[in-house]
Amino acid sequence: MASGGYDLNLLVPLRALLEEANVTRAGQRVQMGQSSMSTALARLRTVFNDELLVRVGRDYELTPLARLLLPQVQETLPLIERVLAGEQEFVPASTRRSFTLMMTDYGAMRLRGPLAVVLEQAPDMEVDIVPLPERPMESERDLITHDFVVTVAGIGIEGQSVDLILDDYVCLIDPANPALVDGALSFEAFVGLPQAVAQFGRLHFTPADRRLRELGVDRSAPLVTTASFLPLPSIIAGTDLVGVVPRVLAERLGPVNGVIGVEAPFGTVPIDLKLWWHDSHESDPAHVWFRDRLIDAVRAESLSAAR
Amino acid sequence: MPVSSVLIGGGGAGGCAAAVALARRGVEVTLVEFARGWPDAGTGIVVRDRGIAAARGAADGGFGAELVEDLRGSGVEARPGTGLVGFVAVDRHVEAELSDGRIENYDAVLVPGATWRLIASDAQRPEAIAAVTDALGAAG
Repeated sequence: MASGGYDLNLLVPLRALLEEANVTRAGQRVQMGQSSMSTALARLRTVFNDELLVRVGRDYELTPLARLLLPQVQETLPLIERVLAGEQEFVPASTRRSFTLMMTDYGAMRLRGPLAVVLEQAPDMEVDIVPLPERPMESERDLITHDFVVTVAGIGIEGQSVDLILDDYVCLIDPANPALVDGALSFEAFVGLPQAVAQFGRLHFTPADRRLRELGVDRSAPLVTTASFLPLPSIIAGTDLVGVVPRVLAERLGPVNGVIGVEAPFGTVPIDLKLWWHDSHESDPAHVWFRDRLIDAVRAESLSAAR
Repeated sequence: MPVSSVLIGGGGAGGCAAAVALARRGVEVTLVEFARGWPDAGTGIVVRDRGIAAARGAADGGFGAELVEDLRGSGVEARPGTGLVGFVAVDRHVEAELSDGRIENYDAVLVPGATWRLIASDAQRPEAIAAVTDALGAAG
């Protein structure tokens, strides 16, 4: 497709090359053979009179021009694609679409209700919930290739975000634990108890992890480790273990397991979960519809809970 | 452009020998071999004959034991459990796709076998051929 002497067909491989930063993955992403993608790279280098991808040891780096081009391409290409697809007005009730959301088990627990509300309004849509990546936001790739990420701020994500859920941490403990004095746990008592800790990966630190580290509390050799918050109530019940979990989780899963949440003696540590998405999804009508409905459903649920 | 980094796809006797030879000439060599038990379980040669089922593994002092010792002292980066899945020549280098999902760039990729394959970009093919044939003592 020629336009004023420019070959717009090069835009698709350009975006793939800039986002994947190598020829092999870029070719796989847009279903172009590797040698075709290699040729496209050569042509793009001529067009821009710039290397775009520079080999550095075993990897590549984007040139300064490439780094400037990337957000521009990400913004404009979806608009062009929509024009070419001749899309009609967006009708949620009959739109087939699958959304992927990255979040922890706790996030899934909090969003289960609101997601069900949204999906009721769009029966042909699907939701795929996946765990947070092992390396939190090492590259923008996770944000680009998934529709949403639900996580706290301060871990280096760059994208659009909106506040979703507020909570804080409590100590999860068996009410018969002798360390409790008048139903309260002191800091010294907390530190002296055997710990049950949910660990989300070597590179993931929850806000509670960070606060405890600041206070010099050593949780590096816990008695029990889990990969998620959800099993902690049943693990702690009947033992003298103590865990640190979000308050709402303690409220919902505590009673059935016979454990309680008590005020954390290390101060209030807020959990500020936000909904994140990449700029390139900004003008996708299905994405806009989904996130607006999800935010509404979350707000509605918290309002009715407050009553 | 001189060839300074080579990926060898396969840790059989041929791949090991090529790796050692290239490393001794100052080339940065990475050797990938799909078998996890490599090299202790052997260097990939099975001899079938009356009474002989397979060569003893390198760990038992069997075939390739000396090669493996040379390899260990040669500075070659060996990655057992990783295979070469694909490759593409890109202007002045080769992109190699590995089974662990990594994509890495090398000046040339060498795949030993019944017929050896040398993959290099157009720009580097002459140097790559010269470097490999010199290292292997081949007739060129």
